[in-house]
Amino acid sequence: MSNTPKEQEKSNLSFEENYIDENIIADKSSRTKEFIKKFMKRKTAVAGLAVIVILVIIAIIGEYIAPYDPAAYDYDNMLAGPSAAHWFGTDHYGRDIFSRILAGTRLTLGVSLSSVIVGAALGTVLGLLAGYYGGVIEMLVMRSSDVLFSFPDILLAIAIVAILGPGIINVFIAVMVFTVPSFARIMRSSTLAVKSSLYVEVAQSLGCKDGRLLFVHIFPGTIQSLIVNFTMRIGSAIMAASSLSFLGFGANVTDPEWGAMLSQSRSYLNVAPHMVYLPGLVIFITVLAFNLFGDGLRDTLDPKIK
Amino acid sequence: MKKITAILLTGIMMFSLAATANASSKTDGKDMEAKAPDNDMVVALQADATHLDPHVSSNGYSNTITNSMYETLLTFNENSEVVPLLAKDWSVSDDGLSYTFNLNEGITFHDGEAFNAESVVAVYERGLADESLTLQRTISAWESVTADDEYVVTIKLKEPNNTFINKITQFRIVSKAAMDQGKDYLAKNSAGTGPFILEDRVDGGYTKLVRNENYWQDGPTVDSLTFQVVPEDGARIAMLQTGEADIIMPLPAMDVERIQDDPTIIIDNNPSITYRYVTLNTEMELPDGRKPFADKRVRQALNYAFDSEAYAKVVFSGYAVEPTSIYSQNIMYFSPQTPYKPDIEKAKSLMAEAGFEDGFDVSIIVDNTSIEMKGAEFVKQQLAQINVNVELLANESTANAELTSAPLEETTVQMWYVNWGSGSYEADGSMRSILHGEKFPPSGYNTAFWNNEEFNTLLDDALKMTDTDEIADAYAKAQAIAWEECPWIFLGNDNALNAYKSYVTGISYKPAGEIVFTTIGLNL
Amino acid sequence: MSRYFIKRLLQIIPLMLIISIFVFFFIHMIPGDPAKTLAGVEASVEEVEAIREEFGLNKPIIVQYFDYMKNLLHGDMGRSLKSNLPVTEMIASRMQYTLRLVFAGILWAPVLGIFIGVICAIYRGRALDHAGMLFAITGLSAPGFWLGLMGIEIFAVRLGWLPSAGLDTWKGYVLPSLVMGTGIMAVLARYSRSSMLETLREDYVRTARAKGQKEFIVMFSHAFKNSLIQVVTILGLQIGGLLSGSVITETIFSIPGMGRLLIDSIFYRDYPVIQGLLMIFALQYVLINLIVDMLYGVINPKIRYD
Repeated sequence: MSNTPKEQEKSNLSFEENYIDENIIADKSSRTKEFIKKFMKRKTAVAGLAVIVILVIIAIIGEYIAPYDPAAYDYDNMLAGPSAAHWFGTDHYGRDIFSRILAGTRLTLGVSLSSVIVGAALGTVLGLLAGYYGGVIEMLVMRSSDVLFSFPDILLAIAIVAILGPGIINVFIAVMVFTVPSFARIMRSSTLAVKSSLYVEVAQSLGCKDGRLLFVHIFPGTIQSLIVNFTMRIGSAIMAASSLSFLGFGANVTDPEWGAMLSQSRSYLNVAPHMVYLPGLVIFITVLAFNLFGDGLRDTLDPKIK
Repeated sequence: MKKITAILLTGIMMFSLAATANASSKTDGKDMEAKAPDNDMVVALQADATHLDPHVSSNGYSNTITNSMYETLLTFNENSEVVPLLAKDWSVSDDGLSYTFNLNEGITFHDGEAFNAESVVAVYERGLADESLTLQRTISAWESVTADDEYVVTIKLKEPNNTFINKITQFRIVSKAAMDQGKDYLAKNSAGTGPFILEDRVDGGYTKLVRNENYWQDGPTVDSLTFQVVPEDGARIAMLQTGEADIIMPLPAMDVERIQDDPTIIIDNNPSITYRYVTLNTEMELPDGRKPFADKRVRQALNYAFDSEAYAKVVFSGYAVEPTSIYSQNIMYFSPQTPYKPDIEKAKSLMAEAGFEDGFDVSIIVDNTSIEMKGAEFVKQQLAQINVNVELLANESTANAELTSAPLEETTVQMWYVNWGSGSYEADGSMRSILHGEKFPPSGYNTAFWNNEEFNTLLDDALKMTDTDEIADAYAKAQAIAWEECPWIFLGNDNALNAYKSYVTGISYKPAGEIVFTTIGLNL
Repeated sequence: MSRYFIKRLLQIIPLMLIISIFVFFFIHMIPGDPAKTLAGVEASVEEVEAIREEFGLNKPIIVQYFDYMKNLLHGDMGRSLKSNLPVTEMIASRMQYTLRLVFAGILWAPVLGIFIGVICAIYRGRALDHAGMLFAITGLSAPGFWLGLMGIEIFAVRLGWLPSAGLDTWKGYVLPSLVMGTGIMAVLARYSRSSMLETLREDYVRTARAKGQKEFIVMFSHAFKNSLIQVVTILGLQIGGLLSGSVITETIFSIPGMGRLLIDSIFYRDYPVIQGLLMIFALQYVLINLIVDMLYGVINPKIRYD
């Protein structure tokens, strides 16, 4: 909701101008060491990273460490509040909410991560091509981005899901689609900047082929802005996907997707508020972790704004 | 001609027996002395009316609102008896073809026009002129409508039809001058004879009605009646607790326990007309070519595997009735059948007999709302006990409407978790569209594709009968056949739960707990 | 400048045209039969057919599109399939609620956000700065629907202080404006901090300092004033994001605004209304972006448009 593409675009533009040149010259391994050293100083970012690592582990093994079968009904134990037996309480089927959150981590993170990865890849390629070749390609890519940018992101996602129908795959597509233009724009402007830099001009004059030039010379020069935007997008992707599920346009309500769990809980707000508090808290912590991590990355990569 | 009372009384007796057994609101221990803060009534509804023209297709909430503005010649009271409203009395010819109504005199519409026999003719003519109106459902069986006198009108049928009286309770009378101005006018103005007049409406927000000062009989005492749309269950309840709303419809079953001890809140609990079932596509083929639901034993096994008592408890917190026939007990000519008592062993042996002891995979279509999903999940869990592996296909109801209207050759519907209720409380309307052999989609909703000649004939014959004993007999037989053949899994009949502040007065009901606002008031 | 403005304004026309084509054809790809939904379950085949005819749903889609565009030029967006009301009228009556929400959100959020940002910039690197930025990123990461539901549970259900639905009294605005504004507050806090820091580095600020002006005056009459310009443009962009925020807010608090109209209309397959809403949303967003771009140029003459 809040991480609009525009915001990130503007923020990234500011540091690209500074970075690209020194990036080219600097020695790789010492840079990495220095980067890690700098990053580790940012405690909140490290905390964010730690949470992300834990989440990834849970995404992999979550369903095996869940204390209960996340899909098992217990009709004698419906809507029970948190207790020693059920840490996060049970839902309207008597299912253990804690187990469902663990088991749903893979689904929730998977949808957001994969949609951002695919969207970023598409956007990057389109942005590179648009920036490098200009002309018709640039026009097409940029005008399509304009169309997509003409809708606030959740509205765009709702419209897409309305067309494709609800379901997790369609949420993936919707989030992916609104990820593409932001990457396309950033990559285009980064590419334009790198393209005019001295070493690309040299490579070009030496008769370097377009493909090689694009991916060996230009792409690495844009990678920092890519990484930062990528991390920041994940937070908003999780938010968008869970908002869609919350509105009933997302995951199947039987799936333990966090937004869908929260959406179901609305009906029980009066009788079982733990169903609202806890899955929401998990979404919040996850988004926060990615945002803190992304902030840390950006600050580390960009000494200007500190 | 003889007075209709004799015929009707028998009919009334038949089904009022079931209806009067209904539990209603409990008021003991409630604070009946509580005072309302103002004389404006607010009703919080879950969804908005789709259209306020009473003849345009619309949802149940539209009826809730329009019923306070428009009236019919006859209506149902809470004991499921047909009683006069705009008509003083009525009679039927011996051949059962002509119904003559004597109308009340001196009634005016909201727009000042006078109500008389010509008004009834005008509504009929509107129906003839525009096929898209819901009036079609009523007047398609009519031959003519004639004004015999200023206050006498006769409706002639093409052939005898036992649902006529039920359907006439849905035939809303609107001022001719207003109808001439069309749907747009009626979307923004009321032109009925009812106790409330439309004042203001924000689509999706609220509909505000004010008291009709010229109402022709004892009317409401509140100054205004506002229907506010509050889709969130939690918010609706909070509004009732804080007094922002005086009545909420519906009250989610889950929340009854939470508010039932509140001395200022009274809960209405009545078995509704909403009957829930799962259709079993009798033509469905498994990948190996076998048709499990074509075998009655499989269909019965599914019913024996299903515990409807647990269903009522789990899905509706106990506020539901176990099924004892193929439609709600509040509908005319209800005839109780022997329940399928849950019996897993019997279900398993029936499955084995039919050659399906290893079960099979099947999908079920369901609307993606919380309560529907919960019900379908329960069905899935129950059928897993006999190795029937159910996959839920949840869609918005609009998308499901398209899937379920596909004809037999194209259908993808294997099972459909759905419900049905006849708004005019008629037996024919409760069975024909969903079980008659001629009502396969797209002309009906018989997605079981069940075609039983005997059942079809019984329905067709009963429709033309005039003797209520014979009608009752035919419908009882039809119910027995469908119950025994079970083209559905019979799930149950959830209750209509409404809640209101103890200072609300003058509530009356239609059958199945539908609130009527005619004499509504607030204790000030 | 004015030539550029006219050029940009003219570019909106083809953009909106493309958007209209996208919207129209995509919406008609939405599965589901509106005529059937409208007619209700008890309707006959003839009734459904009559409704289809009345709304022209039986015509080829191309014809439907040209009919639509022709009417649109006359300011007629068609009629709702559901309520039969003119779409323009429906949207107009809903818009006031959405605008009220947007207003409720921007009433407090930018003020608080900028305040936090400025304070953080002044106390850069100190505890107050860290606390402020942590607060901001927390606001950025909290899902609106979660905040809203918790707000209802605590303040309406449990404490009974605030109403849980509607905008009838000033109390009704408290929770919705909280949900609407939190994201903006967070974004503005982050931006105003970084733009303050940037301005503080500018020569004229250094000069002012060097001249021995009081720190307070340096901060507010030089740095703050100038960074505000940038912040205002960000605020403009955020208003677009508020439109999507209103979808969720309106759903949670039962407010009959444009967002809920969109959700309801998708549910009913009310094509004309969905079309109209998406066009209006797009137009609003495009215009806001244009105004922001212009504003950027007006207050920062260093930016050239070509």
